[in-house]
Amino acid sequence: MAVMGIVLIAVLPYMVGYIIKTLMNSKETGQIETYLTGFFFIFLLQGLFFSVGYMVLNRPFDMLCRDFKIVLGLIVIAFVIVGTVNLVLIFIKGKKEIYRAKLKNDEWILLGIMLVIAALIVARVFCITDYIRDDYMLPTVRMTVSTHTINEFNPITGRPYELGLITSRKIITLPVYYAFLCCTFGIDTLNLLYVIMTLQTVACTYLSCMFFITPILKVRSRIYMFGIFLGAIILSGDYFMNAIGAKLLWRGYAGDTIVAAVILPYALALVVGDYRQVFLADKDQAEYKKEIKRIRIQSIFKLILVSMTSLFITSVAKGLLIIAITVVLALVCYIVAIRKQMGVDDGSLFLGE
Amino acid sequence: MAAVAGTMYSFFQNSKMEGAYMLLFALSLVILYTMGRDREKTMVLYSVLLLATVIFNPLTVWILSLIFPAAGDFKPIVGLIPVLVCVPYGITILVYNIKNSRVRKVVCGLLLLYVAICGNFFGMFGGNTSTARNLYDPEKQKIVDYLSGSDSELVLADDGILPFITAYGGGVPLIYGEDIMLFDGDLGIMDRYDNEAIELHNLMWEPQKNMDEIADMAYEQGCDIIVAKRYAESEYVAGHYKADIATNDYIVYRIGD
Repeated sequence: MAVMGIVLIAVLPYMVGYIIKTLMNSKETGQIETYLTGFFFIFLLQGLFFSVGYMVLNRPFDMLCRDFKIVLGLIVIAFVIVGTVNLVLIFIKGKKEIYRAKLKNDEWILLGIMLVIAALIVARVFCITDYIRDDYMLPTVRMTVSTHTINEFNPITGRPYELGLITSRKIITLPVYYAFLCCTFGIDTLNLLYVIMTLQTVACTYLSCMFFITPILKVRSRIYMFGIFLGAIILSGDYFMNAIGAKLLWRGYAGDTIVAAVILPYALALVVGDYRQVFLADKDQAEYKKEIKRIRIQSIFKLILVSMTSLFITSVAKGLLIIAITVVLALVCYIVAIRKQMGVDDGSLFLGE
Repeated sequence: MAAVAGTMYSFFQNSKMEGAYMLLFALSLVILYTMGRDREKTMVLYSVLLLATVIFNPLTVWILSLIFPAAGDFKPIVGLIPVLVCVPYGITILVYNIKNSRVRKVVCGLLLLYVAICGNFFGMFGGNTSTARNLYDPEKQKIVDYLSGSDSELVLADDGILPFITAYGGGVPLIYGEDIMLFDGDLGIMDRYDNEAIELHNLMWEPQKNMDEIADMAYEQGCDIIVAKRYAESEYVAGHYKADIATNDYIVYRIGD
């Protein structure tokens, strides 16, 4: 059962992302983005589900678990249906040609180094599980698992949730979600928080940063080089608490870490990607303009998705900070884009000649 | 005005990056500016700079902190983007601007070494953070066990043990929590603790002088248990409360029947 749970935690984001991708008819969404979209959506879903279920509908923990299990079941069924339909369509339309480029020698070497560093990160995550963390998450999740009741007091402030929600402006449902996973699949709390969730967050950090950098660096060897140094920073960065790597290696389950290491690079990639679309394409084609509009609407939808997710998994203050950052970035990008479309600005101020 | 400037300065002090990674970030910006000629590179440079000016700006944080005091604690978010994205990107640009492949390999190796030395050398020799804040203190644990055994009784606790209770107490109801200590009772323009709670918190700093007053106020607020610092002259009875257990540093009073 625990193995099944671990596999489900690993593949669920892809399933959700695939359903969203199909619903949005977004052909340009790659595999990396599909996984990331699903990853965010699950956190958003759990936030909405548990906060509404517990705080508004006053449902007990066991009932919430039962209902959320049904939701997850529906997601799996929907994925199977959508996936089967897509496979049949591909089969009817003819086999898709999959382009597989051969790697050069130096690219193999760089890829190898990158994978070795990734393996070292995994080894470190396993090695440091024995240490005790002074975080509220573990005791809160353990208590919820053992008593099958939701902690009615904010573990940080010690005040009742009705009050704590207002005073701390936190809509943190993450401990409840983790407790749900532990109860449903019989996964040990320590392993779920410090190994499974941490590894998933580290993997998503890689994916998110790669998603941002791949269209910019373009060349595969350079992308691998980026991956090597990204891994080196994560691997070496726990020399003091709250340092870069420490947040990832020690608290990959925490909302703050997910926001900082996964959501921010992803939001940045969406904004910069949209900005690039405007400047790097032929503006005169009407069809292309239509396409740009569609992609922009999708980007905005995804930005709303990640902003809402950050509100649910961290304090509202930090969530608002993320929204502020993305809004400021997007505004500057759009002002430059509009000025270019009006012919006032050729974009050289921001983009160079 | 001076107070505002002071708050903004303290936010900046709390949020700025430290040491070698700051240097790496600054260097990568210089590399991107000097070597990044084409559009994408410039875009990344401006995005990161813009991001840095939005979040690094103490004014932004100060404005946010009026509503959300916890916004002052945004260091992890500040540090991750510039370092995780900008540093590897700058290094990649630098390395691929070197034409000679041997020199490139040497530079690459040296930079990898520098990143390792800036941190804990890939964790090969252990990090110094692993047990840095291990709060499993047997004495504090004893009090937490005592409180956890109580049946939802309202607790007034000293600042020293408050974080420990909130972390390990598993939902012990408290008159005030860690937030009063961190934000001095001011939880933003929309909410703050009432004056009595703040006064009680301030009195708890010196229980040897104020114990009777603390006991009276706590009784009025319906408090069942008081965890105070222990002194040689700590009294057995304080108002409606009687000492129940004591450790070297703390004394626990429980309301009398």
